[in-house]
Amino acid sequence: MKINMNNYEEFMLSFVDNELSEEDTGKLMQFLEQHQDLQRELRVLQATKLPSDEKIIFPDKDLLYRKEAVSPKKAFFTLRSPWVPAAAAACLALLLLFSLHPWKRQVVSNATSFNASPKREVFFPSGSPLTESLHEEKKVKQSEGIALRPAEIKKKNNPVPPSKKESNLIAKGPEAKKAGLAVMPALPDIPSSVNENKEIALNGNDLPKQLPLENTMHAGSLKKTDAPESNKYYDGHLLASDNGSTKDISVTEKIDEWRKKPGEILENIHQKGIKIGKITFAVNN
Amino acid sequence: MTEKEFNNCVDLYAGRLFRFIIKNLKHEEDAKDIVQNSFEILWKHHHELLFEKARSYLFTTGYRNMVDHLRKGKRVNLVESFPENVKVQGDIPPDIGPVLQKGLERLSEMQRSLLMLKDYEGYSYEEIGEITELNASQVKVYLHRARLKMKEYLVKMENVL
Repeated sequence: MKINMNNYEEFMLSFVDNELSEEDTGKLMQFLEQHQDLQRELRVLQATKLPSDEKIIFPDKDLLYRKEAVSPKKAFFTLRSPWVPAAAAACLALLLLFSLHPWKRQVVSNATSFNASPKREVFFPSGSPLTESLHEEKKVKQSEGIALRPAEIKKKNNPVPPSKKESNLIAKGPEAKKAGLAVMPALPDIPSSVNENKEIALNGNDLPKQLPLENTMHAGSLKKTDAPESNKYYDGHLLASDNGSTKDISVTEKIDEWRKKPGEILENIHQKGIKIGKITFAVNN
Repeated sequence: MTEKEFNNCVDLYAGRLFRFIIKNLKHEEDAKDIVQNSFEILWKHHHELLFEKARSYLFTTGYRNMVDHLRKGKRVNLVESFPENVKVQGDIPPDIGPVLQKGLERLSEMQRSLLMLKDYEGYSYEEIGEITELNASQVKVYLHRARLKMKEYLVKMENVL
């Protein structure tokens, strides 16, 4: 396009805007040389250009900087280093070694033989807990005026013959009736080698009012023997005496295994840290 | 665009965008809000954008925010003089010169924006068109009109002086 007096202004404006091509810039320069009176007009147009103004600054630039939040997945892979798999392998090896060690197997086998029944529950069909008899015994002894001596505390490995024990611990006959207590049927004499009863040695005021139920829990089912004596002992049932009262422990599981261990202490009963009794199994042969 | 590139954009363009906005709005706090909002939007999309496009994106966002702000009428009453509360380095008044400043204020918002985008940022007609949602021909026409208006004012003031 040829520059003339009708269109030179547009060429000048484009030149000020730096939008004019080199070719057109040359044409404009030639035109201005021919029309020097228009050179002033170009200078005024150039004066309209806004000068660079770098003095205005943004005062809160710190508010604009950002830092990307590291996602947990990314953090995991970022923190992962070559020794992490080695550490994991070492942990697994230690676990394997621990689980396969011989003493570990022995402990497991012992525990299995002792804890024959996986479920340890006590059932009281008559609705009277085992500990009730202990409470009754205290009342009976007090009513009979029997002083409880520390010497009566029996040691675990020194069981008392059933006959002697029953004389001390079982509330019998008219005395018990006088005391208003339920009379527990007397057990027939049982050989101590076969029938080890629960021994109760009470020490004065330490006599428990009620033992926690869990202290009396054993495998099988435990109940007071309200049945006639003829029904108290029969093969496959275990007997225990708590506080002189006879308990018929009907073992429903692992009976054969238990029968091989008559007299085995199932549990010691403690009150305030003092052993006050134990429960053993007895088998009527 | 990476986090580092984004923060580089802050260094490069925060002041320039602020200058562009504040010379239109004449209100420092509003201009700061628009700049912060523009960088907020840029951050939200920084994964999708190239660093080379960041400046155009910032000015486009800032310009549209500014136009919305002006259309809402919050700061329609433009003051004649440069606001005193605008922070400038060393408390030096804007170096544009009082005559140019007054001439600039006589332009319409659009003309003023086009002139600043052209002279301050050096954008082409096409780039200005992208920012202002005009085509290049419109930009050229509007910009030439603004320039001629400024020229008339300068000539007039020269005669007065």
